[in-house]
Amino acid sequence: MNILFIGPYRQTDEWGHKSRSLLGTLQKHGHRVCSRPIYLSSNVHYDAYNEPCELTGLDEYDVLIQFALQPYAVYDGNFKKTIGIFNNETVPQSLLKPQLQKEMMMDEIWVDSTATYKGLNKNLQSLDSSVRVKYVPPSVDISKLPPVSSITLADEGLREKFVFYYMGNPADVNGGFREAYSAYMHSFSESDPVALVVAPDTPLKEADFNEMLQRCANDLYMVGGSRLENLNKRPVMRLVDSISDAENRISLHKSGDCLLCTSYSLAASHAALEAAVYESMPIINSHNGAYEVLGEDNAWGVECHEEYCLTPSRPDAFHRFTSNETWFKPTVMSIAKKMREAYTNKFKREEKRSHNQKLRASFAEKGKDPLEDEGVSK
Amino acid sequence: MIPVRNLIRSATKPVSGDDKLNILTSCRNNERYISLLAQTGHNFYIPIEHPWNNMIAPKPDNVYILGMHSPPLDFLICYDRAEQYIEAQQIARQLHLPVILADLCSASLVRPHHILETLTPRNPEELLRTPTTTVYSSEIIAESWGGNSPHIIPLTFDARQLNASHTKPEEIIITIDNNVSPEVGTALSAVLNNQYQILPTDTDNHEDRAILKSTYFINTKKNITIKLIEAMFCKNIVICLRTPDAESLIEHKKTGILIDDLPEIPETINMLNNDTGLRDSIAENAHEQAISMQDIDGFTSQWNNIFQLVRSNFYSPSI
Repeated sequence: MNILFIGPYRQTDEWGHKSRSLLGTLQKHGHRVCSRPIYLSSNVHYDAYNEPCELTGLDEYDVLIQFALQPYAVYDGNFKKTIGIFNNETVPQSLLKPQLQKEMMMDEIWVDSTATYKGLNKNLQSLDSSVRVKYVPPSVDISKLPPVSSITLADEGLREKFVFYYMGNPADVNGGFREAYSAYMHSFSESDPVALVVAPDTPLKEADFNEMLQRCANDLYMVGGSRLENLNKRPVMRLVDSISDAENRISLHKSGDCLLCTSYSLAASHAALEAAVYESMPIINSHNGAYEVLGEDNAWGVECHEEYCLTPSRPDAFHRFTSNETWFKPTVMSIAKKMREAYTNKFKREEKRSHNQKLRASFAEKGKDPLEDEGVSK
Repeated sequence: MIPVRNLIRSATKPVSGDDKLNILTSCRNNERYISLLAQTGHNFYIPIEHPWNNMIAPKPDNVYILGMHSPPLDFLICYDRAEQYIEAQQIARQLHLPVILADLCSASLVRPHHILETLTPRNPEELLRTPTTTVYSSEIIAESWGGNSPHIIPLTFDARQLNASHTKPEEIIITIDNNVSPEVGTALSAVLNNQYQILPTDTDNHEDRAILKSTYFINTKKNITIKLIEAMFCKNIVICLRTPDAESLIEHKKTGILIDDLPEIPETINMLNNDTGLRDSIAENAHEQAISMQDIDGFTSQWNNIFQLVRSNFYSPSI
């Protein structure tokens, strides 16, 4: 099939990694792909990465795949099929037609978590829309992930410590850093040989980071005043440079013991899948699309509670993140419990590690063609 | 304007063929240049923030204002690397378009500017821009910016709009390019002490051009402009401030007059009025030089080559 793929695959953030992996999957299945990079964030790092399929155009296309934000998406009748991959962090419940306007322009919507799949499907059906929602399991493009990193995380303070690490934007409320931090503080004291490494996906100044920690600590004081002494005796925390390039990211997976993926987002976390490939079994929101792939064999699933999706800053153009959607918030108690378990239960750890070791081979397999099982017809 | 539409177009439109390209162009006093570009036959779109100035040139039929419902674009042209480029780059990032930079002045001038301005870049390295392609209007300009294997498309003009055999009146008339800050006009009036009639180049009447009647043309810019070449074609004595750009075109007292400061103007005009032989000779030489630069077909075909080159090349957005 001839595909025009438009996606943020040059970005070095979650969207970028996912987009690359999907692009790789389509090529692996023998489709002829022409790609064009799009940039969806104004403040993310880009790399010089480009795909040979960017270099040419094809004479004819069957399918247009747009991995973009809803406002960017277009319908183009020159393609036999138009597929949209949008932000699917939430479960649509009672979104209105204008909110799903772009979804309804597509022939097909791909999502990477079953929670989102069910919600969107139900919501579209309630609006009499015939748009097909398809669950496309997330994958990792192993060819872009060498087994070892050429650099190591040189930090004497982390030596002999069990290293939890958080990757993402700690300033983002939905990123779940506050929850991860609270759980860490509740679970460990200064005397425990543990560390929490924070690796922001965009550069973050140390002063801003400390200010943010102070805010988290203040919250914690108000929530759990009885643990105040633990706040004064902080277990080890480190802020590392941005993990925008692959070498740094891989070195963190290799040096770390357990990734904390506590984001509210239900879209499959590429970082969690990647961490598991490097045997760094993630603690993850059990409704996240990545957990659905990894399962309890490969990861530590965190209990969540469903909540209306309310964010203090709502990007108006998207008409999303409203109370017409829900998401699953991980509970701090469950995160704390899993952190203690990951640290103390060596047996379970080894068991998960041995499962993690099989992931590289599993992701290297071709898997199912996302475009399979349907003809391109309208 | 949705960037995805531009990306789809970049991947689907045939590289060769007679299809018209959709080109977004900066429009900040570049109406003359865009009018020439419009003769390539492609469609040109200008941002609504900087509308077309009909006094500078009548708007060609294939120049449109960019709107929400404009068709997908192929690329973006801007005409200076100091200010327009920054704006162009922001638009190009939003719309995912390649940028073509047309350099119309040398590095010593930084960007086209008028004779009372003095520009010094805060950080010259900032001006080493990375557009998809750069086109220079002369070799000297290319060298000044360190252009490697540069694309040079010399400035030209459309002589069809000018009747050079138009009989000039007895009275001495001076034309100035009025598309500048009013302070320039005031400064020139003060220097000339109201001795001569001064006409503006840009008026609503495109039939009755001032340069057809004038004897002198005072270039109010430090760079070479299309209006200046047109004035030469119409046998005006062009008076320019001595800059590397002006020196690259004008030979002092042969094809025009180069001055170091504005107060030299009255003395120069008096001298030429008293030496009509020299004045006529300069006017004739200037006319001949302008004729040698008259190549609208070459201009459009070279630009078409650039458009095809950019269109067919792999485009890496400059972030």
